[in-house]
Amino acid sequence: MSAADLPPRPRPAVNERNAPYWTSGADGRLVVQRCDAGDHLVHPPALLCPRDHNDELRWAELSGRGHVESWTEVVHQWLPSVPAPYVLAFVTLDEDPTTRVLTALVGVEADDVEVGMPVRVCFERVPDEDGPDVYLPMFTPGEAP
Amino acid sequence: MTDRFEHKVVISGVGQSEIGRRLGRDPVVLTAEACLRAIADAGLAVTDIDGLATYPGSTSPGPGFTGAGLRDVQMHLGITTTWCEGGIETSGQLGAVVNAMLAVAGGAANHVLVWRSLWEGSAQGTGGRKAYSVTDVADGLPAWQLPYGATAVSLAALMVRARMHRYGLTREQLAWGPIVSRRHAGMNPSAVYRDPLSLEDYLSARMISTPMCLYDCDVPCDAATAVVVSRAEHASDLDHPAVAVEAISSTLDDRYQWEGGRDVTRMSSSAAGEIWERTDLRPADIDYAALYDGFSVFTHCWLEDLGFCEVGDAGAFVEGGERISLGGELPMNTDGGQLSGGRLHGYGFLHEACLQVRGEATGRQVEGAQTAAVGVGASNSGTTAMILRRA
Repeated sequence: MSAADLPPRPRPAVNERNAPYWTSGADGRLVVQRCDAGDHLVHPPALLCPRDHNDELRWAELSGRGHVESWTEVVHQWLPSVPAPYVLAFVTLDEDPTTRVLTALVGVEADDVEVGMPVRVCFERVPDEDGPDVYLPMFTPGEAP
Repeated sequence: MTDRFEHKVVISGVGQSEIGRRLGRDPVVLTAEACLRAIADAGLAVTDIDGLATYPGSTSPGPGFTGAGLRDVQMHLGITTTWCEGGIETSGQLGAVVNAMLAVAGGAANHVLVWRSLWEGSAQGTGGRKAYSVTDVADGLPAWQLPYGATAVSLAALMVRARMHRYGLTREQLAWGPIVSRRHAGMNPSAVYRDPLSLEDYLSARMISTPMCLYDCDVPCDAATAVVVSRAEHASDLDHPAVAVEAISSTLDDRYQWEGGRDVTRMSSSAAGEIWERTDLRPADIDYAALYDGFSVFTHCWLEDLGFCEVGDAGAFVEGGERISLGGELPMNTDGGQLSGGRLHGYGFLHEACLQVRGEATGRQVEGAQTAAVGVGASNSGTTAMILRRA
Protein backbone atom coordinates (compact mmCIF):
# COMPACT_ATOMS: atom_id res chain seq x y z
CA MET A 1 0.00 0.00 0.00
CA SER A 2 1.38 3.41 -0.91
CA ALA A 3 1.27 6.29 1.54
CA ALA A 4 -1.52 7.90 -0.48
CA ASP A 5 -3.79 4.91 0.13
CA LEU A 6 -3.49 5.01 3.91
CA PRO A 7 -6.29 6.31 6.08
CA PRO A 8 -5.32 9.58 7.83
CA ARG A 9 -3.51 9.41 11.16
CA PRO A 10 -5.52 10.17 14.29
CA ARG A 11 -5.42 13.95 14.83
CA PRO A 12 -4.88 15.54 18.20
CA ALA A 13 -7.95 17.39 19.42
CA VAL A 14 -6.87 20.98 18.84
CA ASN A 15 -7.94 23.43 21.51
CA GLU A 16 -7.03 26.86 22.81
CA ARG A 17 -4.29 25.47 25.01
CA ASN A 18 -2.43 23.41 22.41
CA ALA A 19 -3.31 24.95 19.01
CA PRO A 20 -0.01 26.75 18.38
CA TYR A 21 2.00 23.54 18.88
CA TRP A 22 -0.13 21.56 16.46
CA THR A 23 -0.76 24.16 13.74
CA SER A 24 2.31 26.42 13.46
CA GLY A 25 3.97 23.89 11.19
CA ALA A 26 1.79 25.34 8.42
CA ASP A 27 4.39 28.12 8.29
CA GLY A 28 7.29 25.76 8.99
CA ARG A 29 7.63 27.04 12.55
CA LEU A 30 8.05 25.02 15.77
CA VAL A 31 6.50 26.88 18.71
CA VAL A 32 6.52 25.68 22.31
CA GLN A 33 5.28 27.31 25.52
CA ARG A 34 7.85 29.31 27.40
CA CYS A 35 7.95 30.58 31.00
CA ASP A 36 9.85 33.89 31.10
CA ALA A 37 9.82 33.91 34.91
CA GLY A 38 11.95 30.78 35.01
CA ASP A 39 13.63 31.01 31.62
CA HIS A 40 12.58 27.56 30.44
CA LEU A 41 10.14 25.83 28.11
CA VAL A 42 6.92 24.09 29.25
CA HIS A 43 5.71 21.03 27.37
CA PRO A 44 3.12 19.58 27.09
CA PRO A 45 1.37 22.96 27.32
CA ALA A 46 0.05 23.98 30.72
CA LEU A 47 -2.10 26.72 32.22
CA LEU A 48 0.53 27.58 34.82
CA CYS A 49 4.24 26.87 34.76
CA PRO A 50 4.59 23.85 37.11
CA ARG A 51 7.89 25.22 38.41
CA ASP A 52 7.21 28.95 38.81
CA HIS A 53 3.39 29.08 38.86
CA ASN A 54 3.57 31.84 36.28
CA ASP A 55 0.22 32.01 34.46
CA GLU A 56 1.46 34.16 31.60
CA LEU A 57 3.15 31.51 29.52
CA ARG A 58 3.83 32.62 25.97
CA TRP A 59 4.39 30.72 22.75
CA ALA A 60 7.99 30.97 21.64
CA GLU A 61 9.24 30.22 18.13
CA LEU A 62 12.21 27.89 18.36
CA SER A 63 15.07 27.05 16.04
CA GLY A 64 13.62 23.57 15.50
CA ARG A 65 16.91 22.01 16.53
CA GLY A 66 17.21 19.29 19.14
CA HIS A 67 18.93 16.05 20.14
CA VAL A 68 17.69 12.48 20.42
CA GLU A 69 17.35 11.60 24.10
CA SER A 70 15.92 8.12 23.49
CA TRP A 71 14.35 6.25 20.58
CA THR A 72 12.48 3.08 19.69
CA GLU A 73 11.57 1.31 16.48
CA VAL A 74 7.92 0.27 16.67
CA VAL A 75 7.64 -3.14 15.05
CA HIS A 76 4.17 -4.21 16.16
CA GLN A 77 1.39 -2.79 13.98
CA TRP A 78 -0.97 -0.69 16.14
CA LEU A 79 -2.84 1.68 13.84
CA PRO A 80 -3.80 1.09 10.19
CA SER A 81 -2.86 4.69 9.43
CA VAL A 82 0.68 4.36 10.80
CA PRO A 83 2.36 1.38 9.08
CA ALA A 84 5.11 -0.34 11.08
CA PRO A 85 8.02 -0.21 11.35
CA TYR A 86 8.48 3.41 12.35
CA VAL A 87 10.79 5.25 14.73
CA LEU A 88 9.63 7.24 17.75
CA ALA A 89 11.84 9.36 19.95
CA PHE A 90 12.11 11.73 22.82
CA VAL A 91 13.85 14.81 21.42
CA THR A 92 15.23 17.46 23.77
CA LEU A 93 14.95 21.00 22.46
CA ASP A 94 18.18 22.95 22.09
CA GLU A 95 16.74 26.14 23.61
CA ASP A 96 16.07 24.17 26.85
CA PRO A 97 17.52 20.63 26.99
CA THR A 98 15.44 19.85 30.13
CA THR A 99 12.32 19.92 27.92
CA ARG A 100 11.54 17.05 25.57
CA VAL A 101 8.88 16.24 23.01
CA LEU A 102 7.53 12.84 22.05
CA THR A 103 7.84 12.66 18.28
CA ALA A 104 8.66 10.54 15.24
CA LEU A 105 12.02 10.41 13.47
CA VAL A 106 11.76 10.38 9.70
CA GLY A 107 14.27 10.19 6.88
CA VAL A 108 16.50 7.82 8.83
CA GLU A 109 16.76 4.05 9.26
CA ALA A 110 16.52 2.71 12.80
CA ASP A 111 20.01 1.22 12.49
CA ASP A 112 21.42 4.72 11.97
CA VAL A 113 19.73 6.37 14.97
CA GLU A 114 21.88 7.12 18.01
CA VAL A 115 21.15 8.65 21.38
CA GLY A 116 22.56 12.18 21.30
CA MET A 117 22.37 12.69 17.55
CA PRO A 118 21.36 16.18 16.38
CA VAL A 119 18.01 16.49 14.65
CA ARG A 120 15.87 19.26 13.16
CA VAL A 121 12.14 19.67 12.92
CA CYS A 122 9.97 18.85 9.92
CA PHE A 123 6.19 18.48 9.71
CA GLU A 124 3.59 16.02 8.51
CA ARG A 125 0.23 17.51 7.57
CA VAL A 126 -2.89 15.77 8.85
CA PRO A 127 -5.91 17.27 7.08
CA ASP A 128 -9.03 18.28 8.97
CA GLU A 129 -12.17 19.15 7.01
CA ASP A 130 -13.74 20.89 10.02
CA GLY A 131 -10.89 23.11 11.16
CA PRO A 132 -7.29 24.09 10.58
CA ASP A 133 -5.04 21.26 9.39
CA VAL A 134 -2.73 19.76 11.98
CA TYR A 135 1.02 19.74 11.31
CA LEU A 136 2.64 17.06 13.47
CA PRO A 137 6.15 18.11 14.49
CA MET A 138 8.59 15.37 13.53
CA PHE A 139 12.37 15.35 13.38
CA THR A 140 15.01 14.32 10.89
CA PRO A 141 18.80 14.10 11.18
CA GLY A 142 20.65 17.35 10.68
CA GLU A 143 22.15 20.35 12.38
CA ALA A 144 20.25 23.29 10.88
CA PRO A 145 16.96 23.78 9.05
CA MET B 1 6.14 4.20 68.76
CA THR B 2 4.86 6.85 66.40
CA ASP B 3 1.11 6.74 65.88
CA ARG B 4 0.63 5.55 62.30
CA PHE B 5 -2.62 4.64 60.57
CA GLU B 6 -1.19 1.53 58.95
CA HIS B 7 -0.43 0.00 62.36
CA LYS B 8 -4.12 0.11 63.32
CA VAL B 9 -5.18 -2.29 60.54
CA VAL B 10 -4.49 -5.74 59.17
CA ILE B 11 -5.21 -7.43 55.87
CA SER B 12 -7.48 -10.12 57.24
CA GLY B 13 -8.49 -11.90 54.04
CA VAL B 14 -7.55 -12.31 50.39
CA GLY B 15 -9.42 -13.85 47.48
CA GLN B 16 -8.97 -14.39 43.78
CA SER B 17 -11.41 -15.43 41.08
CA GLU B 18 -10.71 -17.90 38.34
CA ILE B 19 -7.96 -16.39 36.14
CA GLY B 20 -7.79 -16.93 32.39
CA ARG B 21 -6.75 -15.40 29.13
CA ARG B 22 -10.39 -15.25 27.91
CA LEU B 23 -12.91 -16.77 30.28
CA GLY B 24 -16.03 -15.33 28.65
CA ARG B 25 -17.63 -15.01 32.11
CA ASP B 26 -19.47 -11.91 33.25
CA PRO B 27 -16.94 -9.67 35.01
CA VAL B 28 -19.37 -8.83 37.83
CA VAL B 29 -19.77 -12.54 38.58
CA LEU B 30 -15.98 -12.98 38.50
CA THR B 31 -15.63 -10.04 40.88
CA ALA B 32 -18.22 -11.46 43.26
CA GLU B 33 -16.30 -14.76 43.26
CA ALA B 34 -13.10 -13.01 44.40
CA CYS B 35 -14.95 -10.87 46.96
CA LEU B 36 -16.83 -13.78 48.55
CA ARG B 37 -13.58 -15.76 48.81
CA ALA B 38 -11.80 -12.84 50.50
CA ILE B 39 -14.66 -12.33 52.97
CA ALA B 40 -14.71 -16.04 53.84
CA ASP B 41 -10.91 -16.04 54.19
CA ALA B 42 -11.23 -13.18 56.68
CA GLY B 43 -13.60 -15.31 58.75
CA LEU B 44 -16.44 -12.89 58.12
CA ALA B 45 -20.00 -12.94 56.86
CA VAL B 46 -21.00 -10.59 54.05
CA THR B 47 -23.07 -8.67 56.61
CA ASP B 48 -19.86 -7.91 58.57
CA ILE B 49 -18.51 -5.84 55.65
CA ASP B 50 -19.32 -2.19 56.31
CA GLY B 51 -16.90 -0.49 53.91
CA LEU B 52 -16.14 -0.80 50.18
CA ALA B 53 -13.29 0.55 48.09
CA THR B 54 -12.17 -0.13 44.54
CA TYR B 55 -9.89 1.05 41.76
CA PRO B 56 -10.67 2.47 39.20
CA GLY B 57 -14.40 2.46 39.91
CA SER B 58 -16.56 2.29 36.81
CA THR B 59 -14.15 4.50 34.83
CA SER B 60 -12.83 2.54 31.87
CA PRO B 61 -10.26 4.22 29.63
CA GLY B 62 -9.84 1.01 27.62
CA PRO B 63 -11.77 -2.18 26.75
CA GLY B 64 -12.20 -4.40 29.82
CA PHE B 65 -10.18 -2.11 32.09
CA THR B 66 -12.76 -2.40 34.85
CA GLY B 67 -15.00 -5.35 35.57
CA ALA B 68 -17.14 -4.06 38.41
CA GLY B 69 -17.63 -0.62 39.91
CA LEU B 70 -18.56 0.26 43.46
CA ARG B 71 -22.30 -0.02 42.83
CA ASP B 72 -22.00 -3.37 40.99
CA VAL B 73 -20.51 -5.07 44.05
CA GLN B 74 -22.56 -3.21 46.64
CA MET B 75 -25.84 -4.16 44.94
CA HIS B 76 -25.00 -7.71 43.94
CA LEU B 77 -23.62 -8.70 47.34
CA GLY B 78 -26.29 -6.75 49.23
CA ILE B 79 -23.86 -4.77 51.35
CA THR B 80 -24.73 -1.77 53.52
CA THR B 81 -21.80 0.57 54.07
CA THR B 82 -20.82 3.20 56.58
CA TRP B 83 -17.96 4.25 54.27
CA CYS B 84 -17.18 3.69 50.59
CA GLU B 85 -15.22 5.06 47.64
CA GLY B 86 -14.18 4.08 44.14
CA GLY B 87 -12.07 6.02 41.69
CA ILE B 88 -9.03 6.30 39.49
CA GLU B 89 -7.55 9.53 40.84
CA THR B 90 -5.31 8.13 43.56
CA SER B 91 -1.77 6.90 44.06
CA GLY B 92 -1.97 4.14 41.49
CA GLN B 93 -3.96 0.92 41.72
CA LEU B 94 -3.34 0.27 45.43
CA GLY B 95 -4.54 3.74 46.35
CA ALA B 96 -7.93 2.15 47.07
CA VAL B 97 -6.30 -0.17 49.64
CA VAL B 98 -4.58 2.77 51.32
CA ASN B 99 -7.92 4.60 51.44
CA ALA B 100 -9.52 1.53 53.03
CA MET B 101 -6.77 1.44 55.65
CA LEU B 102 -7.28 5.13 56.45
CA ALA B 103 -11.02 4.56 56.78
CA VAL B 104 -10.60 1.63 59.17
CA ALA B 105 -7.87 3.35 61.20
CA GLY B 106 -10.05 6.45 61.40
CA GLY B 107 -13.07 4.52 62.66
CA ALA B 108 -15.24 5.02 59.58
CA ALA B 109 -15.59 1.27 59.06
CA ASN B 110 -14.58 -2.03 60.69
CA HIS B 111 -14.07 -4.29 57.67
CA VAL B 112 -13.50 -2.81 54.21
CA LEU B 113 -13.71 -5.00 51.12
CA VAL B 114 -11.37 -3.80 48.34
CA TRP B 115 -11.26 -5.23 44.81
CA ARG B 116 -9.72 -4.82 41.35
CA SER B 117 -11.42 -6.58 38.49
CA LEU B 118 -10.50 -6.82 34.80
CA TRP B 119 -11.82 -8.55 31.69
CA GLU B 120 -9.31 -7.21 29.18
CA GLY B 121 -8.75 -10.69 27.76
CA SER B 122 -12.35 -11.13 26.67
CA ALA B 123 -12.95 -7.45 25.88
CA GLN B 124 -9.98 -7.21 23.53
CA GLY B 125 -11.06 -10.42 21.83
CA THR B 126 -9.00 -12.65 19.61
CA GLY B 127 -6.33 -11.61 17.14
CA GLY B 128 -4.00 -9.56 19.28
CA ARG B 129 -4.12 -6.79 21.81
CA LYS B 130 -6.63 -4.07 20.99
CA ALA B 131 -6.13 -1.80 23.95
CA TYR B 132 -6.01 1.22 21.63
CA SER B 133 -9.23 1.99 19.90
CA VAL B 134 -8.81 3.69 16.54
CA THR B 135 -10.46 7.08 16.39
CA ASP B 136 -10.10 10.06 14.06
CA VAL B 137 -9.38 12.43 16.93
CA ALA B 138 -7.35 11.78 20.08
CA ASP B 139 -8.02 13.92 23.14
CA GLY B 140 -6.38 14.26 26.54
CA LEU B 141 -3.24 12.22 27.18
CA PRO B 142 -3.55 10.12 23.96
CA ALA B 143 -3.53 13.37 21.92
CA TRP B 144 0.22 13.54 22.49
CA GLN B 145 0.80 9.87 21.66
CA LEU B 146 -1.66 8.30 19.19
CA PRO B 147 -1.06 10.69 16.26
CA TYR B 148 2.50 9.36 16.19
CA GLY B 149 1.45 5.74 16.71
CA ALA B 150 2.89 5.82 20.22
CA THR B 151 1.40 3.46 22.81
CA ALA B 152 2.39 2.51 26.36
CA VAL B 153 4.89 -0.10 25.19
CA SER B 154 6.79 2.47 23.12
CA LEU B 155 6.95 4.84 26.06
CA ALA B 156 8.35 2.01 28.20
CA ALA B 157 10.78 1.19 25.38
CA LEU B 158 12.04 4.77 25.45
CA MET B 159 12.72 4.27 29.16
CA VAL B 160 14.62 1.04 28.45
CA ARG B 161 16.75 2.61 25.69
CA ALA B 162 17.59 5.55 27.96
CA ARG B 163 18.60 3.07 30.69
CA MET B 164 20.80 1.20 28.22
CA HIS B 165 22.51 4.43 27.23
CA ARG B 166 22.95 5.86 30.72
CA TYR B 167 23.30 2.79 32.96
CA GLY B 168 24.63 0.17 30.54
CA LEU B 169 21.52 -2.02 30.80
CA THR B 170 21.49 -4.89 28.27
CA ARG B 171 18.69 -7.04 26.82
CA GLU B 172 20.44 -10.03 28.39
CA GLN B 173 19.94 -8.40 31.81
CA LEU B 174 16.38 -7.25 31.14
CA ALA B 175 15.51 -10.84 30.18
CA TRP B 176 15.84 -12.18 33.72
CA GLY B 177 12.66 -10.66 35.13
CA PRO B 178 10.53 -12.35 32.44
CA ILE B 179 12.50 -15.62 32.66
CA VAL B 180 12.28 -15.90 36.46
CA SER B 181 8.62 -14.88 36.45
CA ARG B 182 7.89 -17.71 34.01
CA ARG B 183 9.86 -20.15 36.17
CA HIS B 184 7.75 -19.10 39.17
CA ALA B 185 4.53 -19.27 37.15
CA GLY B 186 5.29 -22.94 36.58
CA MET B 187 4.80 -23.39 40.35
CA ASN B 188 1.49 -21.46 40.40
CA PRO B 189 -1.50 -23.37 39.00
CA SER B 190 -3.42 -20.08 38.57
CA ALA B 191 -0.82 -18.46 36.29
CA VAL B 192 -1.76 -17.86 32.65
CA TYR B 193 1.55 -18.87 30.99
CA ARG B 194 3.47 -21.70 32.69
CA ASP B 195 5.77 -23.24 30.05
CA PRO B 196 9.46 -22.57 30.72
CA LEU B 197 11.09 -19.59 29.01
CA SER B 198 14.83 -19.69 28.24
CA LEU B 199 17.23 -16.83 27.62
CA GLU B 200 17.38 -17.99 23.98
CA ASP B 201 13.56 -17.91 23.74
CA TYR B 202 13.60 -14.37 25.09
CA LEU B 203 16.35 -13.10 22.82
CA SER B 204 14.74 -14.58 19.70
CA ALA B 205 11.18 -13.44 20.49
CA ARG B 206 9.51 -10.98 18.16
CA MET B 207 10.13 -7.34 18.92
CA ILE B 208 7.18 -5.13 19.83
CA SER B 209 8.97 -1.78 20.16
CA THR B 210 12.76 -2.09 20.22
CA PRO B 211 14.50 -2.96 22.50
CA MET B 212 11.37 -4.52 24.05
CA CYS B 213 10.07 -7.88 22.90
CA LEU B 214 6.86 -9.81 23.45
CA TYR B 215 8.03 -11.21 26.81
CA ASP B 216 8.63 -7.73 28.24
CA CYS B 217 4.87 -7.08 28.11
CA ASP B 218 2.27 -8.32 30.56
CA VAL B 219 -0.64 -10.55 29.57
CA PRO B 220 -4.21 -9.19 29.40
CA CYS B 221 -6.61 -11.59 31.09
CA ASP B 222 -9.93 -11.92 32.90
CA ALA B 223 -9.57 -11.95 36.68
CA ALA B 224 -10.60 -10.30 39.91
CA THR B 225 -8.69 -9.96 43.17
CA ALA B 226 -10.08 -8.85 46.54
CA VAL B 227 -8.72 -8.16 50.00
CA VAL B 228 -10.37 -7.33 53.31
CA VAL B 229 -8.88 -4.62 55.51
CA SER B 230 -9.91 -4.93 59.18
CA ARG B 231 -9.17 -3.31 62.51
CA ALA B 232 -5.94 -4.74 63.95
CA GLU B 233 -7.86 -6.31 66.87
CA HIS B 234 -9.52 -8.68 64.38
CA ALA B 235 -6.20 -10.51 63.90
CA SER B 236 -6.84 -12.76 66.92
CA ASP B 237 -10.14 -13.97 65.43
CA LEU B 238 -8.51 -15.42 62.32
CA ASP B 239 -7.62 -19.06 61.67
CA HIS B 240 -4.47 -17.94 59.84
CA PRO B 241 -1.81 -15.29 60.48
CA ALA B 242 -3.02 -11.78 59.78
CA VAL B 243 -0.94 -9.55 57.54
CA ALA B 244 0.23 -6.44 59.36
CA VAL B 245 1.17 -3.27 57.52
CA GLU B 246 4.55 -2.05 58.69
CA ALA B 247 4.77 1.00 56.43
CA ILE B 248 3.15 2.70 53.46
CA SER B 249 4.18 5.17 50.80
CA SER B 250 1.65 6.73 48.40
CA THR B 251 3.24 8.80 45.71
CA LEU B 252 2.14 11.19 43.04
CA ASP B 253 5.17 12.86 41.57
CA ASP B 254 6.15 14.84 38.52
CA ARG B 255 3.88 15.62 35.56
CA TYR B 256 1.44 12.96 34.41
CA GLN B 257 2.66 12.73 30.83
CA TRP B 258 5.77 10.65 30.44
CA GLU B 259 7.45 13.32 28.36
CA GLY B 260 6.91 15.87 31.11
CA GLY B 261 9.01 13.99 33.63
CA ARG B 262 12.32 15.12 35.05
CA ASP B 263 14.11 11.89 34.13
CA VAL B 264 13.01 9.43 31.44
CA THR B 265 14.83 6.55 33.14
CA ARG B 266 12.67 6.79 36.26
CA MET B 267 9.01 6.92 37.35
CA SER B 268 6.95 8.20 40.26
CA SER B 269 8.26 5.44 42.55
CA SER B 270 11.45 7.54 42.70
CA ALA B 271 9.90 9.07 45.84
CA ALA B 272 8.96 5.67 47.36
CA GLY B 273 12.22 5.31 49.30
CA GLU B 274 10.68 7.52 51.96
CA ILE B 275 8.85 4.40 53.13
CA TRP B 276 11.95 3.44 55.14
CA GLU B 277 11.43 6.51 57.32
CA ARG B 278 8.24 4.86 58.60
CA THR B 279 9.85 1.61 59.81
CA ASP B 280 12.93 0.29 61.56
CA LEU B 281 13.14 -2.51 59.01
CA ARG B 282 15.80 -2.15 56.29
CA PRO B 283 15.80 -3.50 52.72
CA ALA B 284 18.03 -6.37 53.89
CA ASP B 285 15.25 -7.46 56.29
CA ILE B 286 12.78 -8.09 53.45
CA ASP B 287 12.12 -11.75 52.62
CA TYR B 288 9.98 -11.33 49.51
CA ALA B 289 9.45 -8.64 46.84
CA ALA B 290 6.23 -8.17 44.86
CA LEU B 291 7.07 -5.56 42.24
CA TYR B 292 4.92 -4.23 39.41
CA ASP B 293 5.86 -5.63 36.01
CA GLY B 294 3.29 -4.31 33.57
CA PHE B 295 6.41 -3.94 31.46
CA SER B 296 9.55 -5.76 32.58
CA VAL B 297 11.58 -2.58 33.12
CA PHE B 298 9.28 -1.34 35.88
CA THR B 299 10.67 -3.94 38.30
CA HIS B 300 14.08 -2.32 37.79
CA CYS B 301 12.73 1.06 38.87
CA TRP B 302 11.10 -0.51 41.93
CA LEU B 303 14.22 -2.46 42.96
CA GLU B 304 16.20 0.77 42.84
CA ASP B 305 13.60 3.06 44.35
CA LEU B 306 12.93 0.74 47.30
CA GLY B 307 16.66 0.64 47.97
CA PHE B 308 17.42 -2.98 47.08
CA CYS B 309 20.17 -1.64 44.81
CA GLU B 310 21.52 1.70 43.65
CA VAL B 311 19.80 3.66 40.87
CA GLY B 312 21.05 2.25 37.58
CA ASP B 313 22.21 -1.07 39.06
CA ALA B 314 19.01 -3.13 38.71
CA GLY B 315 20.18 -4.77 35.48
CA ALA B 316 23.22 -6.20 37.23
CA PHE B 317 21.11 -7.02 40.32
CA VAL B 318 18.77 -9.35 38.39
CA GLU B 319 21.37 -10.74 35.95
CA GLY B 320 21.51 -14.52 35.97
CA GLY B 321 18.23 -14.69 37.86
CA GLU B 322 19.43 -16.46 41.03
CA ARG B 323 19.01 -13.47 43.33
CA ILE B 324 15.32 -12.93 42.45
CA SER B 325 14.37 -16.63 42.20
CA LEU B 326 12.69 -18.72 44.86
CA GLY B 327 15.57 -19.71 47.16
CA GLY B 328 17.54 -16.58 46.27
CA GLU B 329 18.44 -13.50 48.26
CA LEU B 330 15.28 -11.59 47.29
CA PRO B 331 12.66 -13.85 45.66
CA MET B 332 10.44 -11.71 43.42
CA ASN B 333 6.97 -12.27 41.95
CA THR B 334 6.56 -15.94 42.86
CA ASP B 335 3.06 -15.95 41.33
CA GLY B 336 4.56 -15.24 37.90
CA GLY B 337 3.84 -11.51 38.12
CA GLN B 338 1.76 -9.93 35.40
CA LEU B 339 4.26 -11.04 32.74
CA SER B 340 3.29 -14.71 33.15
CA GLY B 341 0.60 -14.78 35.83
CA GLY B 342 -1.73 -12.35 34.06
CA ARG B 343 -2.42 -8.65 34.20
CA LEU B 344 -4.25 -8.43 37.54
CA HIS B 345 -3.21 -4.79 37.55
CA GLY B 346 -1.39 -4.47 40.82
CA TYR B 347 -3.62 -6.57 43.08
CA GLY B 348 -1.94 -9.85 42.18
CA PHE B 349 1.25 -8.55 43.79
CA LEU B 350 -0.56 -7.70 47.02
CA HIS B 351 -2.37 -11.05 47.00
CA GLU B 352 0.84 -13.05 46.57
CA ALA B 353 2.71 -10.99 49.18
CA CYS B 354 -0.07 -11.74 51.70
CA LEU B 355 0.14 -15.48 50.93
CA GLN B 356 3.93 -15.40 51.34
CA VAL B 357 3.97 -13.71 54.75
CA ARG B 358 1.15 -16.03 55.88
CA GLY B 359 3.25 -19.01 54.77
CA GLU B 360 0.50 -20.19 52.42
CA ALA B 361 2.07 -19.88 48.96
CA THR B 362 1.73 -23.58 48.33
CA GLY B 363 4.35 -24.99 45.97
CA ARG B 364 6.31 -21.73 45.84
CA GLN B 365 6.60 -20.65 49.49
CA VAL B 366 9.63 -18.57 50.44
CA GLU B 367 10.99 -20.49 53.41
CA GLY B 368 10.35 -18.67 56.67
CA ALA B 369 9.05 -15.52 54.99
CA GLN B 370 7.96 -12.94 57.58
CA THR B 371 8.21 -9.71 55.58
CA ALA B 372 7.39 -8.52 52.07
CA ALA B 373 7.85 -5.35 50.06
CA VAL B 374 5.07 -4.51 47.61
CA GLY B 375 5.57 -1.87 44.92
CA VAL B 376 2.69 -1.20 42.54
CA GLY B 377 2.24 1.36 39.78
CA ALA B 378 4.30 2.67 36.89
CA SER B 379 5.25 5.70 34.84
CA ASN B 380 4.04 8.92 36.43
CA SER B 381 0.51 7.68 37.04
CA GLY B 382 1.01 7.24 40.78
CA THR B 383 2.55 4.50 42.85
CA THR B 384 1.99 2.83 46.21
CA ALA B 385 4.52 0.83 48.21
CA MET B 386 3.83 -1.29 51.29
CA ILE B 387 6.02 -3.18 53.71
CA LEU B 388 4.01 -6.13 55.03
CA ARG B 389 4.84 -8.56 57.84
CA ARG B 390 3.27 -11.52 59.53
CA ALA B 391 1.22 -10.24 62.50
